[in-house]
Amino acid sequence: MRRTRWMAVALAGALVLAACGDDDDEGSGSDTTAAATTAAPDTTAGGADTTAAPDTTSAPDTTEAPDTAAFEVDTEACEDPDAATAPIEGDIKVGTSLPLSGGPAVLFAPYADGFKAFWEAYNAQGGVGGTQKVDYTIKDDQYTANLTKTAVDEMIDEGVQVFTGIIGSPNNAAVRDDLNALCYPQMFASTGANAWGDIESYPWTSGLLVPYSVESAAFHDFALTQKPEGGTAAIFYVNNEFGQAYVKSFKKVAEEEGLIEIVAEEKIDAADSGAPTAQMTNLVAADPDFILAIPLGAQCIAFMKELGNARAANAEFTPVVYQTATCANPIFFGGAGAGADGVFTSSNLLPEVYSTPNPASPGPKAYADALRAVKGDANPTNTAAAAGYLAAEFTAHVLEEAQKSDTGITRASVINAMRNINFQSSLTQPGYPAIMNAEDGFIGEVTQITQWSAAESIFKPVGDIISFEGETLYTD
Amino acid sequence: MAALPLNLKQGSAVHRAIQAVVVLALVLFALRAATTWNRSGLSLLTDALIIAIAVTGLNLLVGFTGQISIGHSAFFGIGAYTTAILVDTYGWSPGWTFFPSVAVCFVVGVVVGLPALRLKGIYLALVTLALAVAFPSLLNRYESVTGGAEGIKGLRYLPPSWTGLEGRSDLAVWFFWLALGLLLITSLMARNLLRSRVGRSMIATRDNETAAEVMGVNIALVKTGVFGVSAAMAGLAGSVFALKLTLVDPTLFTLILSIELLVGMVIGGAALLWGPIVGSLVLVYGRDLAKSIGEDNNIDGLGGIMFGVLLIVLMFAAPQGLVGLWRRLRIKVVRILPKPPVSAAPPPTPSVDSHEPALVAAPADPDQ
Repeated sequence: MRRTRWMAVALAGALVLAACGDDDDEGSGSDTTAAATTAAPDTTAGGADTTAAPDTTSAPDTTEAPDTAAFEVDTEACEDPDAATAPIEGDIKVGTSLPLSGGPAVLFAPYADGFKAFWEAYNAQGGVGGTQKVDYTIKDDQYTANLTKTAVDEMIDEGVQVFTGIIGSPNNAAVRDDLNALCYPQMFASTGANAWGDIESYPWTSGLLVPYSVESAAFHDFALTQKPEGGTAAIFYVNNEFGQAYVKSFKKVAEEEGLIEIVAEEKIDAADSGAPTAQMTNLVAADPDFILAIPLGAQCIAFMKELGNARAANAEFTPVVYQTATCANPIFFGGAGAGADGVFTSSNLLPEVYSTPNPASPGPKAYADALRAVKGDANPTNTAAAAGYLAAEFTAHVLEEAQKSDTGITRASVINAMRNINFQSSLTQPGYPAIMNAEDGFIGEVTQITQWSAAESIFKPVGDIISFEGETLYTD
Repeated sequence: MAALPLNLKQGSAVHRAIQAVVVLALVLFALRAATTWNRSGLSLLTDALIIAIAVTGLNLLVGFTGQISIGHSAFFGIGAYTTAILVDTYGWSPGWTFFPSVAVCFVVGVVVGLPALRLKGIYLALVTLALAVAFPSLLNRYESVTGGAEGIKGLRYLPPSWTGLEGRSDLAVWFFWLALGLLLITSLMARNLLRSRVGRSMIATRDNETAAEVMGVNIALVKTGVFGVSAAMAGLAGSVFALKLTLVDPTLFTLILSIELLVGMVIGGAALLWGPIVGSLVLVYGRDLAKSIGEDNNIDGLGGIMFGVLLIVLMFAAPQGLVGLWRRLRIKVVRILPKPPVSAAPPPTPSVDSHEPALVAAPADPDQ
């Protein structure tokens, strides 16, 4: 027992040593991450840009450059400022991490195909400015945050200089502190969490998707166009960070406006794959005017099938049903059969992208061709593939802008170009370019409500394009 | 040339020299890893060391005391959440949270261990399974404390100034030494515990509970105490895990983690002190290798299939774990004869290299 007691003392001693001294070294976010400053516009500030997708001419940019100060990152806050401002010559190493295996891969793996498709076509045309190719890396993290951290560590060791399009809120959060302290661009995180707009604490990080708060507000406004006097709403959601972000946003806007009363909330676990029969029974009993449905992946199909059953069994059950944009995939809606008919959702993509496998417009056609070039049986209407392509296209534009700057491509010039982006993608609604600046940390603030037609198997735009450009606020 | 196997007396000069060489090699390996390995290599090794701390605790419970637990993901998570809540909500310095994490997990472990006084085998497994399944739901339920589905993010733990390490650039090195140090101490604690009267009581309880009770072993105390110690070790691992990852959320502490810990223990070898370390290394590196194969070949699920096949092959080739296999092979070359008992009684028949430690005679050396 004497040895055991000694070891217990040693353990206590080790814990004390581990505990001691770190107080002085710890700091707030501003202490350990590179801070942002605003400065006079430099050459990376965005104007009206026209980086074209491969073999396409971009839709014209009709928006004036915003009248705001340009963003310029403060590299002195980096742990290695010299590395952040060192020129990147030769091939540019770009990396991303996403689920290629495991359950979520069914939903997200096509994203990798879209990502790959853009870079292959882009490099074939000469790469950035026709002089620097993009050497891209895609790592599998199985949608698990600690594996994302491992993947990013590996890519840093392999010389990746720019990270973009990493999927998942916890996944991006797990690497955000490291990448900001070490000053690596973490661009276009493929999640809609509000956290990606925190310019002050995390200047090296930005999001890609329309924030969940914006989408919730868009649905709220759309619901009032259907029933201007207001009404009752029910929420069906997956009980994880993603689902709760929507719920909180919708409740907030409903409370502020005071016209929609939430009468029921039904939830499922993220791992649930069965039909939500009990939840639908409760939704029918609540008899709401509107239903906001926030399932994930295959749950989108299960919900709509159950909705179809409920409507067939009860002719008076006719709520306006909206499923979140993460379900806005023809594969999901088509798979749900008649249950999906008339269900609303939204997208910021051109209707051609998600409605036809053989688009005619230059941007969507280039996307479809590039996708089939890397994977012959890929379905271009899969919006996950389009999102991967979009992330790569935005990244290419940012690299081109950085290349045009006085310093050429450095990690700092890349992040400045990203934060000052003003770019019309070849896949998104023309006339609504992606804009960010020193005061606007959100890139996707434009959306279009659509409605699924089961007979035609397409989404049809409903009403006007909804823009919250520059209105999204970061909240902790 | 001497005939094989060679017989070495435990504690003899040659035996000590071999042990010294092994220790020296491990020290040199650790120094080399800390100073020359890149960020990702060191991070992966650290992950294996963290898992090994938890598996060491599980091994005490399952391997040496014969109680099954499928709920260690919950203890791991409780440790992680204790650290996260204390840092995020109460502003504690991260390093100091290890103490309350260990204490909280010990208490919870003892409480969860109470059913073990009346339940055995699959029935006890079901109780711990319920704990593992309920834990993520409880985290979602008590959102005001745990952050719910969003969890708690932004945990920061920079290297203490006395280490000479600075900032996030050196964070991988700091976590490596921290995890290695804690694993070393927990492993030595487990080793010394097993060589003590308590350890003999644990093994006696595992081998024959009735006989142990007749011989004066306080079964209730042993069972609940070991549950507490085992949970505390898992909680300590969870604390380090949370700080390394900088966040916690319910998806990280599911039943899958419990199964991984059990797999790590079985691969390495249950009831063997080196088993958790070897098993954790194989688990973490095997999973990473499988993932890389899947990425390189662009075939969905290939990596997972290969890892699964590897585990099956391992169980056929080494049913007593890799350390058990190593012992079987080593016996063909070198046999280590234990020290004779302190009493004047004639020495018992040597139980060298047996998996079943002797109850009354010389305490078996599970780390041979």
